[in-house]
Parts: sequence; structure tokens; C-alpha cells
Amino acid sequence: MPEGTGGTEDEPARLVARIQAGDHAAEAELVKRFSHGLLVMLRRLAQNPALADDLHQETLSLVLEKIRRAEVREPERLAGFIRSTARNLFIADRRKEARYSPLEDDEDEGPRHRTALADRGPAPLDKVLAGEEARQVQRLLGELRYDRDRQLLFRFYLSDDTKEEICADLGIEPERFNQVLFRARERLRELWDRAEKRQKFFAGVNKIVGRIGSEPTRS
Amino acid sequence: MDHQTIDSGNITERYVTGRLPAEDAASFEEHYLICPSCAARVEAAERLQRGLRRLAEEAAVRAPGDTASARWVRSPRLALAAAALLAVALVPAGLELGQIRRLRSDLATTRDALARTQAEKGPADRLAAIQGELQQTQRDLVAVVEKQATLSREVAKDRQPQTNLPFLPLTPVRGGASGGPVRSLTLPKEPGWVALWVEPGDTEYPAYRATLSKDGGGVVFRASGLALNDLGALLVTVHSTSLSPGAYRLEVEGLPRSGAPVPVGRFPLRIE
Repeated sequence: MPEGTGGTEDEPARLVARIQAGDHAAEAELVKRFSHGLLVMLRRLAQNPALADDLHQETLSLVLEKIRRAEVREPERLAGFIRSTARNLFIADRRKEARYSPLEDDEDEGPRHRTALADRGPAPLDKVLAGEEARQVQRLLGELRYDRDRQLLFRFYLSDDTKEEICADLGIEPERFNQVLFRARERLRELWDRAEKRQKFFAGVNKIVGRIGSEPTRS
Repeated sequence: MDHQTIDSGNITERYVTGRLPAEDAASFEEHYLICPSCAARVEAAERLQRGLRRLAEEAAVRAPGDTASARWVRSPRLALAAAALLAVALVPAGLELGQIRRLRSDLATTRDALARTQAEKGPADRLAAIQGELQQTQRDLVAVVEKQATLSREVAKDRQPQTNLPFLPLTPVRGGASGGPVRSLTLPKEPGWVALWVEPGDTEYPAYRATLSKDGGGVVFRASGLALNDLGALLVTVHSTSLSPGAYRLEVEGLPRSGAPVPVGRFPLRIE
């Protein structure tokens, strides 16, 4: 079992057996355990948050349905089963979309389908988050002491250059390369967590302020 | 797949950038489906990639002049290197101002909340928590204001005319000979720019590449696309903070229109 998932949780095969026995708590446990990782994978696969959210729901319900019907052949490979279910649903969705797309040329059908596809575009919130991400990354770059570390990040993340090419061009050791990538990622996580905590705190303050502010009127 | 393999093999970063073979990618996906810490790492690496892409796009838009833009198109590596510089050099003032505005707004909200809570005589622990956060926000604000002031001072200093610039003319050492005079340069007391005047001799190449390395150390910088001036020399400026006392060598290569770079000169120098 991977680190950080807790040693007391059921192994996948046991979890599958409990679900097949009609244990609703086991179903909730499966959703809790796989939900986040599944969403991360689908967001990467679909490159569209709204579509990923839809597929996330569909995958979890289909997986639970198949487990209940005892259609999981290798319960100990539950993660692999969930992964392939999610990918198959994504592929099916893409095929469906491809079948619909010629209709866009049709004057009667076109606008309806275009609207349906547009609904799955990035939401305003996602655009705001993208701006926030860029600001966090810029702050991170500003904290780096060496310009070549910045160049390393740009080249590794945005070009097809290999690690060896980048190391040779920038004159850095492979160990240093690993260090820069690791530290940059962890520092960004730290900045992001801090921003989220601050956001939650001020949301909480606003609630308190709202509650206190409205009490005299109610009484 | 275990965490040691994931860390030592840069699996997360290679997965996010599409460098991981399909089989390994499948195995890693099965791992992080059930591993919250790896899923969080994937998210962080993706944020980093998206943020860098956005900054590179912004930097490309900011790059002035047709010549520069054309050069960017020809050389993606140059574009990325320039993006790395521009992303940090051009936007921080705006970024810091944005942060200050946001923190000030947060501070105002918290003060307001504190005032209301005190007026209502709410529970002491809630008050203490808000006071703690208020102090933290104040500390954050002070830190950001100080950083912005430092940046402003640095920008203002760089905009001043550069006088008494340390200047070092360099002559080549050919054929691998290690003897001959070695020019030396004393680093300025205050951080600033240092100019290297290099006469490569061979002037038939449309462009040159210069690599400055410290003996027994790594490469300090490598610059491509250098052009000879009217006096048949290359002028390279280096910031003194990237140099330290010791022996260096500047290697210059000619970049023909086609074919591999050709070594045209090696310039030993000493920094004191």
C-alpha cells in the first residue's frame, strides 16, 4: 500500500468483497480513497475541468456498479480497474463528440451542439485559478538564486530537451537537476497551500462577520 | 512503484511532461490513484508547468522589436532562456504591487472583523485566533513591502548610467598552449557589471558562441548569437555576482551557417 494511505484501511480485494456483500460503508470508503487521485488523472487526460468532473462521477458509479455485479476479475488490482474504466469512458466520450462534430455544419443542429461543447469549456473560476498559478510560479522563480535554475525549469517543462541535453547546456550536475525540480515542485505546493489557507481563513472571517452583523437585525 | 523510485527517477515530472514511457505512466497512474501524496505532487507539477507556460507566453508578448521576435522563432531554446529572464525581470514590480493590494485588502477585512467581534464581545478563543491571523497578515504585509522596496532600489540602480565599468581586453591562446600572458581583473567592491572585450581573430562567421567556465568548476554562462562589432571584437558583459576569485577561461566558437560550431579561440583570465 502506498505511503500516506493509512495502514488500517482494507486491502483492495477485501474492499471489493465488502461492497459485493452490500456494505455501504465500503462503497463510501472506495469513493473517499480513490476520488482525488482519479480526478487528478482525469483532469490531466481530458484537459478540461468540466469534462473531467463529469467523467469522475461516471467512473465512480460505473465502478461501484460493476463491483456489485461481481464483474471485477482481479479485485486485488482495483486501482488498475478504476484507471482503465476511467480511460475507456474518456475514449467513449471523445468518440461520441467526434460523431457529433460534423453536425455542427448543419444549420439546424449546429448551434445546439456548439452550445453543448461550449458548456464544457474552462469556467471563469478556472481562468482565475490559472492566473493565480502563474503568479505563484512567478514568485517561485523570483526566489530562485541562480538564473540557470530558472532556465532549467523552463526548458524541462516547456521543451522536448532531454535531461542530459539540459544538464550539458547549463553546465549542471544531474543531482543538481533533480534537486531543482524537486524543490521547485515542493515550494509551489507550499505557496499554494498557504494561499488556500489564507483564502479559507478570510472566507471564515466573512461568515463570522456576516453572522455577527445580522444578529441585531434578527433580534 | 515505490516512492524511492518515484523520487530518484523524477517520475512525477517526467509523467507530467510526457517523458515517461506508456507502461511506466500506466503504473504510476495506478500508484497515485491510491496515493494522496503522489496525486498532490502531480497536481503541483502540473501547476508549475501551466504557470511556466503562461509566463513564457506573457514574456513572448512583451519581447520588443521584430529582430528579437524573429530570433525567438528560430531558437526555441533562446526563447525559453529569455522567458526565464523576462518572467523574473519584467513583472515583479507589478506582482508585488498586486500582492500588496491583496494583503491590504485582507488586512482591512480582518481589522473590520476584529472590530465587529470586539464590539459583540464574542468568545475569547475566536478573538485570539483572529488576532493571531491579523498579526500574521501584518507580518506578511511588512515582508512584501520590504521586498518591493529592495526591488525598486535595485531597478533604480540598474537604470543609472554605468560608470567606471571594469573592462578586460582578452587575447586568444591557440593550439592548446597553456603559456602566455593571462589577463586579470579585480572584482568591483560593489556588485555591478564587468565587460570583457574579446578579439577572436577569425571574423568569417556570421555569429559566435562564448562559454565562460571556472577552472575546476562549472560553466558560468554560455551565450550564443554573438556578433562582431565594427572593430572586429565581441563585447560580453557579466554581472560581478556570478564571478568569484579564481582562474577562468572564455572559449569562443564560430557558428557557421551550416555545420557544427568551430573553436576560434580560448581566452584564459584571472579574477581577483
